[in-house]
Amino acid sequence: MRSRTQIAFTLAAAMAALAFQIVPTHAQAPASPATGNPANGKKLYEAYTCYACHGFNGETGARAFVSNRSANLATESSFIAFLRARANLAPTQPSTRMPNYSAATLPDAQAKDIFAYIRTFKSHAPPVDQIPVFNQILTEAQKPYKP
Amino acid sequence: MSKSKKTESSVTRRGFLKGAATAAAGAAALTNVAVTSAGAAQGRSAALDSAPPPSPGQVERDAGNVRPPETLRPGERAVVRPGSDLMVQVLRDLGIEYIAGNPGSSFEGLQESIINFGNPPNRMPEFITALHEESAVTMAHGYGKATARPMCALLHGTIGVQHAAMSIYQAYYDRTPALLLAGRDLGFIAAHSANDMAGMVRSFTKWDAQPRTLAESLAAIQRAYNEAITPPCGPTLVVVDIELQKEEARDLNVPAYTAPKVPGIDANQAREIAKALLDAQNPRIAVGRLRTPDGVQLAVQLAELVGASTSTSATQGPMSFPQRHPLCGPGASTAYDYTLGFEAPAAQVSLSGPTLSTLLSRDTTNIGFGGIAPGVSRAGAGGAPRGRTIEIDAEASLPILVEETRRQMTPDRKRLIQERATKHAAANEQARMEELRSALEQKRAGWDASPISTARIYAELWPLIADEDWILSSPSSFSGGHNAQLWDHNKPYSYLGGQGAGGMGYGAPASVGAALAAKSRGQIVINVQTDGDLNYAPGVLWTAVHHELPMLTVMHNNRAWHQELMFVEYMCGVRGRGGDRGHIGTTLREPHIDYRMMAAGYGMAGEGPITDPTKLGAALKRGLVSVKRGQPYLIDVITQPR
Repeated sequence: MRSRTQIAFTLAAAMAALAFQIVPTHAQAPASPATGNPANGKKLYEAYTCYACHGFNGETGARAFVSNRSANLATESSFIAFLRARANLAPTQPSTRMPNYSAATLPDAQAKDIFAYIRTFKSHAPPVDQIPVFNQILTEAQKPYKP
Repeated sequence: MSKSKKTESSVTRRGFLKGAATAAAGAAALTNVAVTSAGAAQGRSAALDSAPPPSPGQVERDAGNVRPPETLRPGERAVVRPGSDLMVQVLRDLGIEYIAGNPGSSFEGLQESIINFGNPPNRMPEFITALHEESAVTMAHGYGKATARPMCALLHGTIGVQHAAMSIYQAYYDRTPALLLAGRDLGFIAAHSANDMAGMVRSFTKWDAQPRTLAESLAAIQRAYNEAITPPCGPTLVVVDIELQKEEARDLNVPAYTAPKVPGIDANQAREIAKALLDAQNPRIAVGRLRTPDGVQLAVQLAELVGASTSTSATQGPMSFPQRHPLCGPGASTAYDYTLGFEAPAAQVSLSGPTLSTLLSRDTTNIGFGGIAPGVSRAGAGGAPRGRTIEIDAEASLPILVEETRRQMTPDRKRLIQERATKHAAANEQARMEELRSALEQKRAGWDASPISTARIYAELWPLIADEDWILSSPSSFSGGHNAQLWDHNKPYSYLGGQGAGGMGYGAPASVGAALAAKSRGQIVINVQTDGDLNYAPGVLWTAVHHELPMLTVMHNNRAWHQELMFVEYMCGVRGRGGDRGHIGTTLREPHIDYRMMAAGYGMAGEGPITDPTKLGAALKRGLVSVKRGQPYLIDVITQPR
C-alpha cells in the first residue's frame, strides 16, 4: 500500500512538474486582472524567498518571471492552482524545483498579493547593442586567437 | 612495526643526544619518552588516563633552560647541520616554491630551517603563514591545479592533520598533487602525537610514510613528491619526527633524485591510433583534464597534425585544450568517423589514466567513499565510457602518438588535413560568435537590476582582464558559471574548476594558492567569492595581504548558502508546512556581514558593499590596479541569488 501511495505521489509530482513545462505559452502578456495588494505581495515574495529562484526583480535566476509567458501565470486562478499542485513527496535527491504552497500556509488572498507583485515586474534590460561592456566583449571575441 | 620495536627505534633516534651527552635535562626528556612508550607497549590505554603532568625535562625545555653540553667550547653549537636543513634542501631541489603552515612545535626544527637555512637565509621554499591547516592544504590544492606541481603544507601533529583532513579529502577527489609534511613530537604534548598519525587520513591520501631515520626521511620526501605527481595524482603525507628534524646530520648527503616515469601506450597502440586518425575523413578529439601544461601542448600538436575538431573541458577545470583554438568546437561537420578521447569518453577509443579506485587498498577500514568505492553512492561517478577505453595515462601516451602520426604522415594527407582544418576553423568561429551573441542576449536580463546580477560581474570583468594573464581560481558554478560563455579559457590554468568534493571553505584559500603561483609568473588571480564559502576560514585574506599576492576578490554576496536555501524551501513545500521559515539556518542576515570591513580587519584594501550596478565597473578597475601592484583587493557586491 505504501509503495502504491508513493507511486501515486510520484506520478502526481511528475505530472505537476510536467504541467509546468508543457502548458502552452501565450504569445502576449496576460491581461487578466490582478486583485491583490502588490505592496504586501512584495513582502510575501521576500518572506517566502521566491527571489531564490526568480530573482529579486523577477529578471534573473533559474526561472525568471519577466518574459515568462507560461499559462501558469496567466490568471490569478491558474497561478494559485499551480502553487497548490506541486510535489508532495520528496525525491531522494535534493531538489531546487518549484516548491508546493498549500492553502493552509499560503492562503489564496496572500497568493493573490504575490501574483499582483509579480505582475509589476518589467524588464529593465537594455538591448545588447546598448550595453557598452557587451560591445567590448564582442570586440574581444573578434580578435585573432593568440596561443 | 610492533610497539616494542617502536620504543626501541624511538630511543635509538635520540642517540645523537646521548652522544652529545650530558645535559641532564636531555636525559630526563629521554627517560620520559621511553617510559611513555613502554607504557603503551604494556597495553595501557592512554586515552583513559588523565593528561599527565609535564615531566621535569619538558618543563626545562619550555623554560629554555637546556644548556649546551659542557664538552663544547664557548659559542660552539651541538648541532651544526640539523637534519631539517637537509629536508629543506630536498624540497628546494624538487622545485617546491612554497610551504604553507600554521606554526606548531612538532615541526619547529623544520620551520627554523625553512626560514634560516643557508647563506643568505633560505627563500625557497618560502614559508607562507597560514591561519588554519585547512587553508594551508587548500592553498596547496589551488597552487597544484594552477601549476600541476605540488606545493607543500606543514601540519602540526594530530591536531593539524585533523584540521587539514577535509582539505586533503578535496585535493584527493580532485586528483591534485600536494606534498604534506606533518610534524610528530612524542616527547611533548601527548595528545598531539600518535603511533600512526597518517592513519587518520590514509584512506584519502595517495601515499604516506613515517620514516625512522633522517636518511629515510629525505628519501620519503622525494618519493612523496613523485607519488603526488604520478597518476592518479593526489596529496601525499610524510610524518617527520621532531628528533629527525633536530638530529645532527653529520656527513649525510641528500639522495639523488629520480623523476618518475609514467607509462603510456606502446608502439603498436600508437601505430593503430595514428593510422585511424589519419585514415579518418573527419576525426574528432575529446580532451579532458590532462596532468600538466606539457600534456596540453602535446594535445594541441596532435590536433593540428591531424586537423581534428576538438572538444575541451577548459570551461570546467584546468589542463585542457585552449577554448579559442581554431580547431576547438564542433567543426565543419559533426559526422565524425573516428573519435579519440584523452581523459575523456569517446565513441571509438579513450585513453584514461588510473582512477582513484586504484587506490582502494589504502582504505583499510573500508570507509568506502562515494564515487570511488563500488556501490556506495546512488549518484554514481559519472557516465560510462561509450567506446573502447585503454586504461593508460593520456598525457604519457601523447609523445609517442605525435611521433607516430608524424611518421605516418604523407604529403597528400597533409594537404587534405590543411583543407579540413581551414573549414573547421571557419565553422568553429561562426559557431563561437553565434553562441556568444545568444549568451549576451540571455545575460542582459537584470543588467540594471539591484541587487546586481551575477552575469554582470563576469561581463564587466572580462574586457578588463582579457589581455592579462589571468587565473579564475574560484568555482563559478554557484555564481551562474557565466565565465564559460563570456570568457576565453585558453591557458591550462585559465579556470581551476570546482572544489574537488564539493566542500565549502575552498574558494578563498584555493585562490591564495593560485595567487602564490601567479605571483612568480606575472599573472593575476580572479576570485569570485561566494559569501558562505568565505566564512569558513577568512583568515586567508590576511595571508594574501601579508605575502602581497595578486588576487582580486569579488564577493558574490547573496547573503545565504543559497543552494541549501532552495533545498530547504522545496522540503517545506513538499511537507506542506510553508516556506516562510526556510531562511532559518540557510541565510546570513541580521546582521548582514560587511565583507569590506572584514577585509580591512585583515589589512586588505577594498570597497563596498556595492548595490548600484553602474558603480561596479569602476570598482573592478580600481581593484585590478591594486592587484597589479601586489596589493590584493576585495569588492563586496550585493548580488542576485544566482
